[in-house]
Amino acid sequence: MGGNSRIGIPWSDLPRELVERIADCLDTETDVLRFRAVCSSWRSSTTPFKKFPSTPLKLPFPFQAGGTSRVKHKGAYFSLAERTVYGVQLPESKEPSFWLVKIERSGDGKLRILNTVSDSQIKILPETQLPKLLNTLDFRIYEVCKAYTLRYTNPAKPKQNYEYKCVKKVVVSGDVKNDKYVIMAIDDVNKLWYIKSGDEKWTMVRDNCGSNNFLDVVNYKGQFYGIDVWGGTWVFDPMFNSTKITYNICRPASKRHLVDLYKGELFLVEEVTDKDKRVCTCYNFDDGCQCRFPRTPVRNTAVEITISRIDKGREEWVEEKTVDNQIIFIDRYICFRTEEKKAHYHDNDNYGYDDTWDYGYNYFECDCGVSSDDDAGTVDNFVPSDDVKLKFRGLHGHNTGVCDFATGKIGSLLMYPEYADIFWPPPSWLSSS
Amino acid sequence: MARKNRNPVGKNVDPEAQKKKTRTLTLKSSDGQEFSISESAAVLSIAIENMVEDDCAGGVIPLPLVDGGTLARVITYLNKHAEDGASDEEKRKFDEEFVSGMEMGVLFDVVLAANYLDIRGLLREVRRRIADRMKNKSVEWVRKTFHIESDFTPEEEEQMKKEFAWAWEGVDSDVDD
Repeated sequence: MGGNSRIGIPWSDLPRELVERIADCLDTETDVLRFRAVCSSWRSSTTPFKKFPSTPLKLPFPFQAGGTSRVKHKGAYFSLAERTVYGVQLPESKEPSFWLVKIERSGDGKLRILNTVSDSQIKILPETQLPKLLNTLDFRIYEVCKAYTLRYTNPAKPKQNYEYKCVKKVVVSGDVKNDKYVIMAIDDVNKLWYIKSGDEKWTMVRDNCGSNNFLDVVNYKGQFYGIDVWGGTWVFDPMFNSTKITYNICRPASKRHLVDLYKGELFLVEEVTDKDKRVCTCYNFDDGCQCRFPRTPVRNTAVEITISRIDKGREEWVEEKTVDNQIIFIDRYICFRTEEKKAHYHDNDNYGYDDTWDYGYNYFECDCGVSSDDDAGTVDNFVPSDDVKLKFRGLHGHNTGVCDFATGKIGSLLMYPEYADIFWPPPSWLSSS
Repeated sequence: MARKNRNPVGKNVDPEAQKKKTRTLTLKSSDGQEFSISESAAVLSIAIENMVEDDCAGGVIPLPLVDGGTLARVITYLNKHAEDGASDEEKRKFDEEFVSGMEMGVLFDVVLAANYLDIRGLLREVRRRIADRMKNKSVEWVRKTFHIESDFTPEEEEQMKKEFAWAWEGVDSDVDD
């Protein structure tokens, strides 16, 4: 390192303000923790990562004030829980080289380890209990993304503390310095709500053109963006006034997700499901459908997946045909992407690249809300063999699919062991140490 | 040495700015190398601008804390950013390429130089690049790459162990399952 010899001072003696400002460029708690563990001068020049929100948040339950007068919910509230997806590099030099895990932190600071695909808490066999503490310095971990959920908490019934399934999406934005928050959430009937520090109740987003019917909401570059069932994209100002920034999309798609995909640009991932492809010959399309066409049961499973980007000039979403080698993960709460190369991350500046990963653009989807027994409801009606079911028992039955964007082919996650490996099983060191 | 400028000046151009473009300054590195640079590029460095304004720039500006190799790089950066007609997009691309190939030692020199010369844009770029290199890397990797030795007391080590621990919630499962 020529620099050190020429100037004659080591990195640990960088001016304090420089160290501080370099640390400012780190945006995950894990990276800040590690930065502060390098040497004492770096540690003393920086402040610990500021958790946000700093105290556990209690939010009113339910969304609609007075919506439930039932005695059993008296005193109940929502608590905000944070979920982080971590990539953990496995110490054994085998495939897969990393494992993705979802960790949920609730208000008390304790962690639950979740099955990334099913969101259920990973239960380790009774004879191999989880270590009470896991020293993350011993493992190579990196933060992939963060998301939030609401937990139903009822002090009168301490056992009743569970993820509230009747919320489709929760996004949090805020002023970390002053610990002020703004939260937006989509409820089970696609209504978009918000609440901010100091509010005593949730407020429904004003019905602008009768469009409070949202499929997704994200915090993109500090602003809330939502997409409605017709494919119209809305941006919300700090007063929650909305402006429509794209036209509706003609083609129906039951599921639409906004993703900050790469290069800091907002993308739209759409799932056209079997329900969307259904052609109804009577005029009562949805519940009142008389003709029951087609006669096969509708599973609302994706049959086509597309990615689009906004064409600002034309104010519409335009399908993206060529995209980099990345993996996109989509589920109810979390949409994230990782560069395939990064997934195989090594201790040098050039990431290793593995040919077996050359699938182009891939996609995972989990629909735990409609998770079903065994074989029913799985993507593509794929029926795995008993061996595969056993090996990936944590993944089986959650309607998780993989879409290869190079070919457009969609299949069950279990058809792709090289991808299923990323999620299951939890590494042995986790359950045995 | 600032040279008098007699060139015709465009009608809508600030004559002072035009003068700066054609006036050249000489910067002298710690190892005695001299570099010519237009004043308009040089004053993107707040430190140099102050020296010029205070008129202590009579002739050669000595920069005793920046070596020749680093100064040459910094000047490339300044020239690009002072270039007429370079679009923001072009400059952004340049910045990206400018820092992308730098090895750690070079980044170190450049960040110190940018700090000393007070070149905000460059400082921001290099700082971000250094942070990017550390992202997702183990503490050991950072120490090795940056030639830093751990100097923590056993008490501090103990404290950090706590920070890095993932403490699991009791083995109790979720509600009713």
